[in-house]
Amino acid sequence: MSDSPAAPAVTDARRPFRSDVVTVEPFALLGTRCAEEHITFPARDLCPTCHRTDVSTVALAGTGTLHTFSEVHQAPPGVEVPYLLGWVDLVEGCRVLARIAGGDHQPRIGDPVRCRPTTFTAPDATTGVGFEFEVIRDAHR
Amino acid sequence: MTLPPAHVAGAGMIRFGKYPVDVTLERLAVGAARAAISDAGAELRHIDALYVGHVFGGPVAGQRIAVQLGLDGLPVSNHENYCASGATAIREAWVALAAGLHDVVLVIGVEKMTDRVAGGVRPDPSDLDAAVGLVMAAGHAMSARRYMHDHGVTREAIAAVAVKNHAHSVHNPFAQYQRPVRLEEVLAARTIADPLGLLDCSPISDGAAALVMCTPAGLRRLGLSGATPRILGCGLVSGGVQDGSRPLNDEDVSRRAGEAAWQLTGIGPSDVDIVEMHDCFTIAEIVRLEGLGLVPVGEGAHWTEQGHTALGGKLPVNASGGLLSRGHPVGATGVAQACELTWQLRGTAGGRQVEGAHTGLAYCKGGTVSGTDGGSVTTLVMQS
Repeated sequence: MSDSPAAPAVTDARRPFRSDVVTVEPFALLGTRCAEEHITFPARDLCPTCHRTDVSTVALAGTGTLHTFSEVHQAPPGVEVPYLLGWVDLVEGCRVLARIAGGDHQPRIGDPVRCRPTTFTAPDATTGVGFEFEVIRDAHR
Repeated sequence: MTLPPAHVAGAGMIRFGKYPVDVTLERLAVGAARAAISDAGAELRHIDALYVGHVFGGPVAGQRIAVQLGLDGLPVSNHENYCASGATAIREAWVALAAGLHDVVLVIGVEKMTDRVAGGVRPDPSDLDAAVGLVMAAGHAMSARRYMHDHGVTREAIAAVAVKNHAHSVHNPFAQYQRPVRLEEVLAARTIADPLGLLDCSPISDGAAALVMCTPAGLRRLGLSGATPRILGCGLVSGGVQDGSRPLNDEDVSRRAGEAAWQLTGIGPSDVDIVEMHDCFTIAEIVRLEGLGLVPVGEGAHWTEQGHTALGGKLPVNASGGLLSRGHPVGATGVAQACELTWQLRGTAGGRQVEGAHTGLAYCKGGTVSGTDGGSVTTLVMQS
């Protein structure tokens, strides 16, 4: 922590936390698709699977299933606990680490989830639009 | 490709634990270094260079330590690979000795965490995973839940790693904790990241460990004859980008680190008869042993429950007590593992001695990078 007073945080509800992660209007998770149809998260300038550079940035569907999760009870100072963290297997075939909005029920491995916007905080305390996943409760499994 | 081995002429540690503010990083390092130099029967004038592994020590920590030791003026390098920093320093020292650059070098792994780290270690603040809220404990907790799901393993079987390693630590005077814990204590401990509790996690620790490493010419400089434990080599790999097609506990990074070690040393998994494993969390010991090919996939928890990885078992793992009990001053851990293997291979490990230990493997894994299966992994192979 710096000893100097913190600069006032700049908060912009329309600005993505990072331009390679989400778009805001409309909200979408971003990915990379290469000429061989490898789809990965987030947007990059090369395909991490085949290292091709003829790639395009694509909006991901933002739906998938919960691969695993944990309820976190201890975190560094300034982070409110508990919170749910999980790995989500997206329908496109890639896996994303994200906070999970579980609601009142403990989620289960395999639960269907969908992405929604939330606020992320950068190291300099500025904020922007990030992502999390909510468990789809009304889905039949 | 194999390179000439490095001889370990001396090994020294200070007891890991939580030290007051006035016991500085430099003091910790000096304590371990003097123990290693004394163990080697060496003097400061014998040492050609200093290699220091640390994470939170700040700029030129190694040079600050050199001044306190009386080694100012020498080539000093600082090595950061998160929890594999100490082992990475050993690897670089081994390469320098093999290349003929130096004949006697001092390697120190050191960390002062208690006044610098609170609430657990986490990724670099610029990493996407940090914004999401990843702490290391949560990553391993998610690994544990998936492992239990995939292999039909109980929570108790994972907790058994903590029971085993704490039982070993009773015999290690350098361990932060030196008392046995019961399974019920592990299961009832405060939750850190569900399903893992406090006793599934290595502690935040201060500490230092050091080695004096030599070429054959260096051994002669020190007046040493007779057998010393040797570092045959040290593999180093980094995490690969994961596309989501592999199981979460696939441990490809551990498999590749094992391959690196086998290729560098000519040793194979079946030759290993003692392991110092980076058990930063209970589940990590299990999945990493499997990734290395030392234990069949899905069998690691059962092996622990059946005593196969305990002292007296067919593959003793963490006779030292591991990170769970020895403590985990992150930059010091890899060197502490090498100290333990040195004592085991000399046959001087006392109540925790593995009878007939001839070939040892020490594994460290350091850090996370968003979208990959890890930061850095080292695989150090030593032989008597």
